Amino acid sequence: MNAPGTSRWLGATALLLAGSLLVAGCSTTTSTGLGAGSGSAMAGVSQTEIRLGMSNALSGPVAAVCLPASEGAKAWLAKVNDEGGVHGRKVTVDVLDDGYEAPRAAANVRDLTHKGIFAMFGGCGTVSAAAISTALKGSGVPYLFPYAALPDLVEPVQPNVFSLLPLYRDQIFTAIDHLVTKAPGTVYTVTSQIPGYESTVSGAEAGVKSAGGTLLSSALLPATNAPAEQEAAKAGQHNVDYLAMTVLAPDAARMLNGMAKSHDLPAKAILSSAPLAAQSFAAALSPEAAQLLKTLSPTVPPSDPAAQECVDALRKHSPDTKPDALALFGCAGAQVLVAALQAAGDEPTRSKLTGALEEMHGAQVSSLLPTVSFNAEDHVGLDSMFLLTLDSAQQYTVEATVPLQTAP
Amino acid sequence: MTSAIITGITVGLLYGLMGFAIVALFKMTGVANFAAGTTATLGATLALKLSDQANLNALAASALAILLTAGAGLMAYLLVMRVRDDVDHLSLTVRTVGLFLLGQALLEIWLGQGQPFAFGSVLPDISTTAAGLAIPSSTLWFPLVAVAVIGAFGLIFSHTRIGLLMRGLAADADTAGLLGARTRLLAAVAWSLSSGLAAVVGILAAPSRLISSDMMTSWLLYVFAGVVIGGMTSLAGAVIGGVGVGLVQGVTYQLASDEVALLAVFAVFLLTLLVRPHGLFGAMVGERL
Amino acid sequence: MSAKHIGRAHGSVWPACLVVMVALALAGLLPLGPSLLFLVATGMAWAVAAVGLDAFSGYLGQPSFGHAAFIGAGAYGSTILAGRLHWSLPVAMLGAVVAVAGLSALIGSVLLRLKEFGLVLGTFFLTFVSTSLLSGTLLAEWTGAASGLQTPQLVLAGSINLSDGVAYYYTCWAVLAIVALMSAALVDATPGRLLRLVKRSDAVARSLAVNPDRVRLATFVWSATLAAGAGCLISLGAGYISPENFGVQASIMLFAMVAVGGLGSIAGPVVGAVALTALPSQLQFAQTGQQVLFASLLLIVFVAGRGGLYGAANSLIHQFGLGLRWTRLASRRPALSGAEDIDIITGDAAAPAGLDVEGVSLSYGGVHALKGVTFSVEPGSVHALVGPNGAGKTSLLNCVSGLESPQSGSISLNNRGGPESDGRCTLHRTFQHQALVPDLTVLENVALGLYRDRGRLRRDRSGAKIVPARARAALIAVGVPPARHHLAGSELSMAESKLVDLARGLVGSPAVLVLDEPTAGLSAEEMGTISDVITHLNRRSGLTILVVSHHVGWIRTVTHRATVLVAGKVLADGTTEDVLASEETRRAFLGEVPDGVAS
Repeated sequence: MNAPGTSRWLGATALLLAGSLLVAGCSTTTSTGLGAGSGSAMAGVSQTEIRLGMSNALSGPVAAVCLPASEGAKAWLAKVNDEGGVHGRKVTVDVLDDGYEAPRAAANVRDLTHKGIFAMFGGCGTVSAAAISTALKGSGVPYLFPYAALPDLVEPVQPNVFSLLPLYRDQIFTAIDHLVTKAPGTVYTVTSQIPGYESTVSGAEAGVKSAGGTLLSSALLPATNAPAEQEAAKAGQHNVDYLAMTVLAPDAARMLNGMAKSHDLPAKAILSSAPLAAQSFAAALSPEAAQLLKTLSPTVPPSDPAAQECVDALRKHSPDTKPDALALFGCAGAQVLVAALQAAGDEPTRSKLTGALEEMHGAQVSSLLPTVSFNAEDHVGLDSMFLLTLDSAQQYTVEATVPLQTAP
Repeated sequence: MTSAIITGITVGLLYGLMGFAIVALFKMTGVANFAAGTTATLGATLALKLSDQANLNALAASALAILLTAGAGLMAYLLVMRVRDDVDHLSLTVRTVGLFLLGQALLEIWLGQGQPFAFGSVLPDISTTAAGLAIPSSTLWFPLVAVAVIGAFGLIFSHTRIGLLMRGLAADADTAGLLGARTRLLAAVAWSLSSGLAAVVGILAAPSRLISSDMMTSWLLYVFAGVVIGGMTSLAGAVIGGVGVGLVQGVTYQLASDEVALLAVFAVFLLTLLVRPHGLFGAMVGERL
Repeated sequence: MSAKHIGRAHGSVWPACLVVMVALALAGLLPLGPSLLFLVATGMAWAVAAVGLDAFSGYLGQPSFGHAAFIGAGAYGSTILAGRLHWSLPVAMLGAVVAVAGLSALIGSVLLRLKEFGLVLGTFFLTFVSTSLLSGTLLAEWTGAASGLQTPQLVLAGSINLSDGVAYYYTCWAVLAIVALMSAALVDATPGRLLRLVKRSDAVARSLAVNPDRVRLATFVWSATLAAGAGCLISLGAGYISPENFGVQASIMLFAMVAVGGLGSIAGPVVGAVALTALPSQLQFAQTGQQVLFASLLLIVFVAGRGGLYGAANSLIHQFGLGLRWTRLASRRPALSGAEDIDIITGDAAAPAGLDVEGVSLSYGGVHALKGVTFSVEPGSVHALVGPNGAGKTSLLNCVSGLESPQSGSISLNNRGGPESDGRCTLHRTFQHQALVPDLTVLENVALGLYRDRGRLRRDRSGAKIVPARARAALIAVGVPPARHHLAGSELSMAESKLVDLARGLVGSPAVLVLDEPTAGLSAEEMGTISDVITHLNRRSGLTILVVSHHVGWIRTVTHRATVLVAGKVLADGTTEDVLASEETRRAFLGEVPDGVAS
C-alpha cells in the first residue's frame, strides 16, 4: 500500500541503522595491549601494570549502597600505587556499571575478559555476584572478594573464587550461639529473601537450638517492597527476648523503629549479621533500638583507629565517599589483594595469586579485618568477625572478636 | 491482632490520602499519575534537606517543602504534560511513567549515600496507651489530617469559583472547555494541588518509612489498588479503598505472610471489580453510541 | 474528532519490519565487541516480547505492565524442564511456551473482564504475584527462590554453542525475524483490522459480528506466548536468571520499549527493544548520572514522539517522499452514476424484508427507556423514527440491532409479500457518533462490513478477492470517489464518514438498514447528499431503511412513514405527512408531553 514509501524506507533506514551501529562498533574496539584472551596466564599483566576488572552498581537504586565498595578499593589501590605499586607495577581496576542487573553484569564480564584482565575483583550484591561467577565459569579468571555472601560462590569450593564475607547462615548462627547461650530466652528470626536466604533461616534456627533458646517464629521479608511496618506489628506482639535479623538495612531500620514506637522491642538484644554494620543504618535507628543492637561485621567501624589509614586514603582519593561499612570493605579487599600480589612475586600468574591466597593462615594482612585464612577446602577468608555495639553517640565500637562457627 | 489492625488502618489512611491526590488529579485531567509516589518522596526529601541544611524547624521546613513540591508539580505539568497535550489520555499517562523514572533517578543522586535518613514527626507526639496497647501518635493524627484534607478540598470544590470550574472540568472536560473554562490553567492548578498533597503524605510517612529514594515505591501497588477498588472517579472511594486495602494487607500479613497478603489484596481487587466494574463508588461511564 | 486511542496503528508495517531485520542481520557482522553483541542479541530476544505486546497494547489499545511475568514464566519454565526434568532444551522451550499459552488463556479469561485502568492495575498485580511466587518459599524447590537458577546452554552438533557469541546473536535474530514478519503480515491483514476495530468500540465491533471478548483474549494469549518465547531466548544466553530480571522494573521497561519504538508498528518495538537494552551500557560516560540521562531520553521520546521512533522516521521519510497531502474534497452532491455498483452489492440480497416491533419494553438501573413499543416497518419503505432527546430512540435501535435485550416484547424481520428468502435476512445498523476505525483506510473500514459473511465468502470460493471489489462498489454507490478510498478513517470530514458508515452497512447486502442520526451535525448541503443516497438506494434496490433523525424537514423529503417516540412510548405512527402534521406531534417536539404518555 505504500509502494513509493517502501523503497525510501529501504534506503534511509538501513543506511541509518547500519551507520549508527558502525559508529557504536568503532567506539568499542578493544585494546588488547595487555595480552590476548583469557586463557593466557599473563593476561592483564604488563611490565608496568596489573589490570583488574570490576562490575559494580554505579547507578540505580542500589548505587547509594554499592558505589562506596568500588571507591574504597580504588582509593586504597591509588595509595598503594602512589607508594610505588606492587613489585614496581601499578595495580589498576577497570570498573564497569551493571546497575545491579544480572545481564549487564554478565555483559561486563565478557567485555572485561575480552579486554584482558588479570582477575575480577570486588563488586557488590548477590544477584550480580551470581551472574558474574556464572559468566566466569571455566574461564580460569579469578573472582575475588565481592561483597556478597552467596552460598553458591563458595559451596562447593571453586578454585578461582575467593570470598571475604562469611555466609549469612554462619554469621547468624554464630551471633545467636554466642549471645543467647549466656542467657537463653525466646528468639524471633527475620530474614530478607536475598539469594541464599533458605540456608540463612536454617542457620538461625540451628543457632537457637544450639544455644538452648526457644524459637518463636521465623519471618521472611521480601527483598524489595518489604512491609516493614506490618512486620514490626507482627514481631512486636510476641514480647520476645531476642530478635535475630538478617535483614537489609533500610527495612531493618523501619521495622525496629516501628517496634520502638509501640514499645515492643525485644527484652534482651537485637542480633544481626553484616548488613546492619553500616553507620548510616545506626544513624537512622531510634535510641531505644540502638542500645539493644549487637551486630557482626567483617571490618572494624570507621571510628576505630585501625581504620585510620583507609579513611585517610578515602579522604584523599575519593572525598565524596563517606567512610562507611562498604567503603571499608572495599578497602580491606584491596589490602588483602595487594598482600597476595606481593606474595605472588615478580612474575605474577593467576595460579601464583591463588596459591598465595591459599597460603594465608591466620594472616593479619589488613588492619581493617580480623585474621585472614584460606586453604584449598575453604575459600572464605574470615574465621572470625567483630561484634559491634553502639555507644551513646550511636557510633559503632568493637565489643569483641568472635570466632565464626559453621552452621550444621 | 489489634496492633495489626491499628497498623493496617494507620498505613491505610496514608494509602487513602495518596489515592485521594491521585483521584483528584485523575478527575480533573484524566491522567493517572504514576509519579505520585516519587512526588511524595520529593516532598519528604525537601523537608529533610531544608531542616538539615537551612536550619529550619521541622514544621517550617515541611510547610516550605509542600509549597516547593507543589511548584515542582506545576513545573512537571508545564514542561512535560502541557507540551503537545492534544494526545489521548493514555499517552499522557505514559509520560507520567517517564516522570516516575526520571524523578527516581534524580532522587537517588540527590539523597546519595547514607540512606535511609531519619526524620522526626512534624506533628506533636500524642501517643497514648489504651487498654494496655500502645497507640502511636501517627494513628491518632492521621485520621484528623485525612478529615482536614478532605474537608479542605470539599470546601474548595463547593465554595470557590475555581473549585466549581474544576468540578465542571472533572465532569466533562470537552464541554467545560467549550463553555470557556480555561482547561490548561485548571490543569496546572490540579497538578500543583495534587503534588502538594502528595508531599503531605510523604512528610507524614517519613517518620516511619525513613527517607530513601524508594520509600514510597512499595506502596504504589496498594495505593492504586485502593484507588481502583474505591472507584477512580470517587474521592471518598479512594480514601475508603486505601484504608480497606491497608486493613486487608495488615490482617493477612499478621495471619500469614507477605505473599499471602499480596494475594489477598489481589483477590479483593479482582472480586470487587468483577462485581462492580467501576469500583465500589465509581460512576458508570457508558459509551456514547 | 478526538483521538481517544493510543498509537495510530500504521498501515502496512511489513516493509519497515523487513528493513529493520535486514539491518540487524548486517549489524551482527560488525565488530561490536562481545559485550555489545550480547546486549543487542538480548535486545532482540526482548523484541520478541515487545512485538507481542505491541499487538495487545498498540493495535488493541490495551496497555499492560504484566507481560514480564510471562517472560519470566517462559525463562523459568524452560530452565526447569530442561534442568530438573532433563528434557532436551528445544523441547523444554516448546513445552514452556505451550504451558504459558494455556496459563495465559486461563488468566486472561478472568483478568480481561476488567476494564481500562482496572485492567492496567491487574496486569501490575500479575507481575508482583509472579515475582512473589518465583522468589518465595512455596515453589523454592523448583525455582531456586531468590537464588535464581543457572540456565543450560544449547550446543548443536557438539560444537556450535547457541548460547554464546555470534551464534546466540543469530539464533535470537532468526526467532525475531520469524515472529516479527509473521506479526507484520497478520496486523496488515484481517486480524489487524479486527484489533483496531475492537480498540475503537466494542459496540461497533459487535454490530459487525465481531466478538470483542474473544478478540481480546486471543490477542492476550498471543502476546503472552510470544513473551514466553522471549523468556526462553533470554535464559538461553543469560547463564543465570533470578526473579529480579522479570519484575516490575522489567514490565515497565518492556512497555517503554514498545512506546519508544512506536505503539502499533511492530518494527518500532523491535528497534525500541534493542535500543533500550543496549543503551544503558553506552551511557557509561555519564557515570552516576546514567539513569538520569536514560530516563530523560525516554521522557523526551514520550513527549515528542507521535508514534515513537517509528512515527518520527515515518514522517521524516514522507517529508522527502510523497509531498504535501491533499486535504479535502469540496462537498458537492455526487453524480449518482453508480447505479451498476448498487446492483453488485444488493444483487444477491434477500428480497426486501420488513421489521416488526411488538410490545418491546426495556429498562435498566431504574430507568424505563422503552414501554411497550409497537410499530412495523413495511418492506421496501423508508421509515423515520423521530422523537425528542431522551425519548429512547437509541435504546430502541440498540434492541433492534441486538446490542441490548428487551425485558419483554419481540422484534422480528420478515419478508412477507416476497419470494422465498434464502434464509439470509440481516439487519445492519450505523452509529451516530464516530463509528469508523480511525487508523484503517476508508476501504478497509468498509471491508469490515463483510466480516460477518466471511464463512460464506470462503465457501463460495469467490473469497477474499471479492471483498475489496464490493467495498469499492459500495463506496461509489454512496458517492465516495475512489480517490478517497485510501485515506485513513481519521482524515475524513463528518459528512464523508457518515457516507462511509453507510457504505459499510451496504456492503453486506442487508435486508434492513438502520441509520442512527445520519444527518446530525451536517450542513444543509451535506444533508442533501445523504437524502439523495438514501432515496436512490431505496428506489433502486427496494432496500428497507429505518432512519432516526430529528431533522423534521429532512424527514419529510426522504421517508414514507414515520413513528414518533416520546418518553419511551409510541405517540404516533403512520405516513410521514400525517404524523408530522398532527397536533400531538408538534406539541411533543415543543416539549409538552401529551396526557397518558408520561408515567
